[in-house]
Amino acid sequence: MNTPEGMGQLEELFHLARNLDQAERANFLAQVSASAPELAAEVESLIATYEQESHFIDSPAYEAAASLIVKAQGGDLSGNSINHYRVLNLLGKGGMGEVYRARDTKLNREVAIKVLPASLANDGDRLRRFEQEARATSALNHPNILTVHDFGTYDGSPYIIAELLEGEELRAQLNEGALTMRKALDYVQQIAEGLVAAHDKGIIHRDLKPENLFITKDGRVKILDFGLAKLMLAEQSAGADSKLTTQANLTSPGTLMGTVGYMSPEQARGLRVDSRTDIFTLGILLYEMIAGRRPFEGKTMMDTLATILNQEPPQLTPPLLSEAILIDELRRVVGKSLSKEPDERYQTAQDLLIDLKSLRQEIELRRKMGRSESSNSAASLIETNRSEKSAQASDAARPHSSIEVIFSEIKRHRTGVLVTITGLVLALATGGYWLYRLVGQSQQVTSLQDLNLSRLTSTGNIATLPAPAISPNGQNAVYVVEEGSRQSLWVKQVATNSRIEIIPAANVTYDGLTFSPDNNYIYYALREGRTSALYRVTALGGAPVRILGDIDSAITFSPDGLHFAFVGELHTTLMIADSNGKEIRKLISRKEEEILGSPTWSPDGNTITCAAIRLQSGEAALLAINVKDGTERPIGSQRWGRVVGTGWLANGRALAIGAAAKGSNSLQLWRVSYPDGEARRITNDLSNYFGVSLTADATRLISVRQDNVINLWVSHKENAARPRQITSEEGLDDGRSGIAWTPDGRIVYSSRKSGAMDLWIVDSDGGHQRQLTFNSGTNVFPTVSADGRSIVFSSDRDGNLSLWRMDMDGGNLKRLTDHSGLAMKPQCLPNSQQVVFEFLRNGQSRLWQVPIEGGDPQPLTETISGFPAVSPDGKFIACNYGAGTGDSPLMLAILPAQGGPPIQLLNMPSVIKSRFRQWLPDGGGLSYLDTSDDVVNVWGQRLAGGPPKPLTDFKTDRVCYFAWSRDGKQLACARSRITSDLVLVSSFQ
Amino acid sequence: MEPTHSVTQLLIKWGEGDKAALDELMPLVYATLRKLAASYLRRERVNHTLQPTALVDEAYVRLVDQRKPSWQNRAQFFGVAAKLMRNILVDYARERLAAKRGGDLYRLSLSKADQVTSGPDVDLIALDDALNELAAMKPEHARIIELRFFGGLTIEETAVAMGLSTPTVERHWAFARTWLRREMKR
Repeated sequence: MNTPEGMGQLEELFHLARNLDQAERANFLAQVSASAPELAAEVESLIATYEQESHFIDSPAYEAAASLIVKAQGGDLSGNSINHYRVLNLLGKGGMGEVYRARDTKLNREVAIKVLPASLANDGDRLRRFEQEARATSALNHPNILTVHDFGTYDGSPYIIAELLEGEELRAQLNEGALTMRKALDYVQQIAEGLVAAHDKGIIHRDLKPENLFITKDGRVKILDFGLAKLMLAEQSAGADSKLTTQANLTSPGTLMGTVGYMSPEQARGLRVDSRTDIFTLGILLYEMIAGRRPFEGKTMMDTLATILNQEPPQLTPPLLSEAILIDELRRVVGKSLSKEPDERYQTAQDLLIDLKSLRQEIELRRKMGRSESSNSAASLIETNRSEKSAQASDAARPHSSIEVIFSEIKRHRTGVLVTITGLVLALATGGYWLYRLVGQSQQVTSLQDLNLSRLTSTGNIATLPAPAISPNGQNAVYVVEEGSRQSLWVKQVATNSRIEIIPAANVTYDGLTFSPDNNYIYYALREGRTSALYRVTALGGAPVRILGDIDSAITFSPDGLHFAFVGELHTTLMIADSNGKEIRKLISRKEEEILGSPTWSPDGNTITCAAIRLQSGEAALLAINVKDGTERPIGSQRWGRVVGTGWLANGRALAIGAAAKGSNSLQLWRVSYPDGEARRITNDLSNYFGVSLTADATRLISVRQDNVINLWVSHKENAARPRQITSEEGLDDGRSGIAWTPDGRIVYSSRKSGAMDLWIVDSDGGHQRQLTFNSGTNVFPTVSADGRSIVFSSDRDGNLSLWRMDMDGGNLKRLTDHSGLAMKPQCLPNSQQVVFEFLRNGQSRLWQVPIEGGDPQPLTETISGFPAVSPDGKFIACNYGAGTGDSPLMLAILPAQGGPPIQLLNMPSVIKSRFRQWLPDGGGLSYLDTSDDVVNVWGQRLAGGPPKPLTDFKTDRVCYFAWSRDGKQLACARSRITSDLVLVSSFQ
Repeated sequence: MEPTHSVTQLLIKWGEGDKAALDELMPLVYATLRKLAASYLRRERVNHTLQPTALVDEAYVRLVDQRKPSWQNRAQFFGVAAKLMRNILVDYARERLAAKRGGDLYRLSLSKADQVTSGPDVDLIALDDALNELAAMKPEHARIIELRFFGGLTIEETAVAMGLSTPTVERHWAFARTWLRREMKR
């Protein structure tokens, strides 16, 4: 039988047999057996093997090559004595050595002893530094960090003596599947608490993973192996072949530390890491605990790394339906932790901890309330299918706290003195304490020439990435329309309203858009995995032609149209190809720490410019690259916070760019002179501009302008389903920073329609609109006195934000507070001549009160407190209240209006988190904003308990401020909507 | 001169049927694999957490210009690497066996890199012997095992590397590994 022929026959019968069911097979084998019994026996034994061991040699041999060595190493130390520690038994191998149970014969207690590989002992310096770090961490004596008692060396192997824990690795729990949200948040919070303590001492873990996290029997999480990762890294890179490792830095694990699936992008790239690497990893752990799988997975190590570097994890789904209601907030927390850019993550473990705590509180609250969630959660699940992008966009545009609102307003609009606060300001804000470092920045304000800017679309759904392109002759624009996750490609005649859909909506992602020099074709990149492919289609539509793959930018044509340049190789290399996409040559390459933005070819053909973005800081510099020899130099010394498009002006003496200045989030259009790089603003407004595409003569450019449109709406209690918009479509932050009703049913609100943040008054039907403050800085948070004669508000017209009062017509102005702090969110009491307000002084918020007609302000509270809301009967103030030290969670306090200790402290996280709240008109509870969803509505929570109820029923957009009318029958809301439209800009030279 | 270009060119030549190219290629790949394997082993001793998930992948990355990915190149390269991996691992197992005279140290644990539970162990030396037996009768089958198991190629990649259809490779693979397993148990 052992002949080629015999084998052939055997194989044939084997395949026939394995495809039969058991009865058929027996029958079949019986038939074979009749003529060839030996062969039948062979087939039968093969089938048996096949069924029993279907996974034999399934994984490639090299995957396991190392296990061979681990086994070979062997060597159990049980029974030995290491100094005064008697080794009892092996507890486990793995992590970074062997762990034994041992008895400390001096102190007569049981300890754990971890024996590290002998090779670590070679470098005494490193070992000492590791010891120092481990001692320092241990000295923190933190309940969530393993306590290390001692160090030493035994038989050439370093060892660590640590507290003996009983329980299991987190890995063991994860092997059983996903955890509940409650448990996951508990664990992650404990880990974060340990990290806060360690990071405070400058100690980074670098290798958090389920194997390094131990859950004790009483549910406490202990972080193991602090600082060990660094020690190991040093060991490895010393031993690695340096020549080879430099070449394959991105993929070679020789320079990588940490377990691949738990690495941060900066770790994966082998860059310097800081404490934010641990935050990324914590995000991975949280994700894994909830999803039951890791967010970044690949078949091979390289695939996994590529996923970490380039891909967003699959969306989290809640493990329990009852927890579905919180999934959005959880996704936000996970998403922020998993930002590829360290700068976009939580900057400290403390920041993460705050959000985790409020999430946990919310879960606990919901559990306590024990309400049936099913209808709500179903709704929430449906809502979460909305485009993540729009959520992100609105997030970016949405300040997270009142203090941030105020300062962004001040920074944007003051033309004279800038508010400069050095040091840290501790502000009481949404959901907790937020730290903002407000660095005095000299903002260069230039008078802008007459800018001619017209909006080409009004649908509000134009993609900001890829940026639109204009044809060289200026007649057409190509752009992408975004609807949820679907994108379509459109061409629009600039001069008319005529537009055609070139490629219908599909679940694809477009990348760079460019017109051909002859105006007839459109080049676009389409995402394919981690890179994109370039296609060409005629400007009228038709079948696309694939030109090349591996492209990460828009292309740019040489002036003669014979070549184009683009960035590829994972954003690292600038290349030039002929117009057919052939004859590719590399012009410049970047190492891993920098990537390149979309290039633009100069009008004289000699230079290509593009942005070089530093991965670590996110900062960008503009580069000019010589086309002939690839020599490069920076254009000016300016570093930009972000660059989203570049284009040359016709004379080659300047560029137009879309960029945010360093330290700013505001994307504006700029003119940058060449070669000296002097920057001047083309736009300076509240919109964001994405992309710059110029006509051949550079007289016009197009961009996508993104705006946050905020309008005032009024709804009647009797007819809640039919709210009316009462301010104009432009929506210049109408009501965003304050709405108040007068006793006679008019509405005072803040708006930017004058060009600055001023107070306005309007009838509840939108009539008789009138401006109340003029030429006087930022004016926000109006409140109207009980008698309807005065308006009290916050203004920075003569320095720091302070309280002012004025008559209803805007006259008779008087300042009520001094400049020793920032006075915000005043609330007139309905039955006295007092105003309650939040006063931020010496970095902490307190409630104060002051008479409306002026007088000495008096403090009302002695601990951190803010967001005052006065009850309709004037007897109580509800506010956020920090009962203890900085660590204790914020509570909702009900205070007597005349001052004194809280009457009631309530744990109502969703109310506490709300950026604005007011008493319900009947005084029995609070109305607040539930921001956990993409759509924000006003909700009501009775103080007596019970489930919160929605009070508005908006299906889109986000409410950001609201106010009940005096009779409680009408509700005024400011609603915010993010729009992005194509704009044409001319006369910007 | 970096080895990058020459390896790419040699692979192309080999792909075009130039057998001499393979002779030139082998020592290059062998040296790299050796070096990598050694560094893996060293690393493994230091840090159990870095599993050698992709030794050949890494060798490929180091030797071949991965910026211009060509599937055929990759498959060919893996073909070369597979032969070498077999040599390296089996030699290693024999060395260990000789050194320890017994025990099951030559067994290769096939625990998946990222899993904690360990899978069945493979007796590499017995496998090698059985594979030689198989090659004598069915060289094509043996080659598939070599590419899949020692080279880490997928079914599809194996098909490309050998110029066979995917279903054919699937069938041969199913049969050959069953046969090998049964042979090793005998």
